[in-house]
Amino acid sequence: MTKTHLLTADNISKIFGSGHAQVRAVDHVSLEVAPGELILIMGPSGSGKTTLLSMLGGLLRPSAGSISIDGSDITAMNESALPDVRARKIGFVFQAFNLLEALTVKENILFPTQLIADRISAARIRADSLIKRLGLEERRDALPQTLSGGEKQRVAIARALINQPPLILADEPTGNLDSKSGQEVMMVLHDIARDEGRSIIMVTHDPRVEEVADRVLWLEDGALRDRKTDIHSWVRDPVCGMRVDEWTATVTSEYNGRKFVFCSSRCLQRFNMAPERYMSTDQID
Amino acid sequence: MLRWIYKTLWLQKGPVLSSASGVAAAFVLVIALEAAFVGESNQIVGYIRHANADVWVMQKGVSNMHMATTFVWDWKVKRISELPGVKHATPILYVNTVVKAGGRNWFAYVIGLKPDGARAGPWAMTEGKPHPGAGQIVLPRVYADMAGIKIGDKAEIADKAFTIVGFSEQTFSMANSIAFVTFSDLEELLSISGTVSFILVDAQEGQDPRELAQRIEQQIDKVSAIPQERFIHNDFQIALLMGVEIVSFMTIIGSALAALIIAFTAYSQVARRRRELAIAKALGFKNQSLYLAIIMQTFIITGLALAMALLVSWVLLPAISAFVPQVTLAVTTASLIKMSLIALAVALLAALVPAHFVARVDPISSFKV
Repeated sequence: MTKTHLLTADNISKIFGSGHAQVRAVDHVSLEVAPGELILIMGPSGSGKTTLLSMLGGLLRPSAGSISIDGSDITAMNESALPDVRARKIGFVFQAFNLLEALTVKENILFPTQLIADRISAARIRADSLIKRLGLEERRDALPQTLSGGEKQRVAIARALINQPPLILADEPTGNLDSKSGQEVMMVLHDIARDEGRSIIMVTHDPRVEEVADRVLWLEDGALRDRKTDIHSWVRDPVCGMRVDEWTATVTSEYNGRKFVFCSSRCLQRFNMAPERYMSTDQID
Repeated sequence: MLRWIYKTLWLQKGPVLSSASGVAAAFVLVIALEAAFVGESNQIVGYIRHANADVWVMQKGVSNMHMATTFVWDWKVKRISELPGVKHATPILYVNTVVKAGGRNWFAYVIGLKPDGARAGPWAMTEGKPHPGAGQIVLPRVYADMAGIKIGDKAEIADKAFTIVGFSEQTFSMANSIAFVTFSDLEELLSISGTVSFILVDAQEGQDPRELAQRIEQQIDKVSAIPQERFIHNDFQIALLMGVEIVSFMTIIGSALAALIIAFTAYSQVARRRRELAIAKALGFKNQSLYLAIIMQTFIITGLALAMALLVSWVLLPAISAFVPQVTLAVTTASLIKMSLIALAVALLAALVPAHFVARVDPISSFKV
């Protein structure tokens, strides 16, 4: 590994089961990520994206290969050492936000600071700064259940940043957001990579995100492949009108024999509340 | 971490309070049993404590009063009263038997008093006279409350009828109560003469009761002489032997019940928060930190339950004693400390199952939508 790379994954594979039931979820993937780089990992459902992200985050051990983060080979570490790596080196952003429901916005953001030896006063200053930067000043004492999806994801991003990790791993961060909130979240992540030099690896189905990424990796059947540019099949989300790649979209529904494709589960929910309202929409782009 | 635990419990305050109440009920049960046991044990030694002789003299080999049979030749009373350091020697005749009154049977110490033996008689009266005459009996006031008997009514011991002439206080317990008759009536009832059961020895001022007891045993044949405190201790131990197994058994049941309720509550809390635990693990929290969180959680619930139990005991137990006079309850500091230690053990035990659950939570599940 060269010093210029924050993360290096060298020929990693993950095999689940054995014998006839064996599944090769990730197959000889190699990857190098430089500081400040925003990388998208895209691919169809079941292609191994989340498994790859779990391995890169030290949550799952590869069956073969090695992963180094900031010069440390996490695949050679004891199980008991990995939580410390996650606490210091990695910030996680989840599709389902994963906020702690009993804690306020500020408490959620401060939650991981217990894991590092740092003065609480310094952590509070960082939290206040993140709250301001992410536009959450009015919501700092709110409980998660009172927040919108976009606000929740911004809190989750602040929590991921509070310990100042060099690497952010984001799993479908816009998957549960409407187009406007999704766009906001993407711009926040983009700014974090550009302004703070943190590396971001993002698993997503959202083709809108491609424009802000430094690199787009295509994972298919567990292996990184070149993505053909002509595989897009653009359609319009019948609810918000956004352009969606039918080929990669995961949020779909059938109604009266017609297939509908959505940008997010939120749009699907709105569709399900009054499907007749959207029946006249032509999805072909 | 503590804030997270505390606020999560607060968010679930309804179920948490219900569980704490259940645990508190189990704790109250244990405290009440202990209180009843200690209260009864105190009552068993109540007569000895209130008679307050410096030294108790009885047949050699006998070392307690409860359920004991003892006969000492009556001439030894005079011999003892003449010993140096003895101020006064008061003989009583004593038998454990059944007293029938108001259509009910009561197990009782029946004390036979000499005409000059008032110091061995009842120490607090509600009604009537404390010293019975021939054919008369003094009974505990609780008999009157429970059976509706009154002064002038009849009571029977074996085939002999007595007229009730007084009701005494602090002379009733569920295990035994105390009835007073004349010495000669009890002699007649037992078909004996020339013997006494116990001799209550009052020492002269400045006389050490232990030395006096030794002197009596050295100079009077075939008697045991036991200082008051030792005699109380001996009877208390008999009382403990009679009830300690039952109380221990009920304590174990109550504690196990409390542990089960807390464990179930803690397990439910953990199961409900499985996803949050997975998130915490993904963020970098180690199993040890989460075990600590679970232990803190069970301690909070147990502490809450203990506080509720102590409060209820403080209010409820005196009320029970007031409304149900036949029950004597005594809550001691020792029993409360014991209950607190049990609660501590219960909390630790109850944390084991959810801690095992925590260890199995997979942080990857935080990726699931």
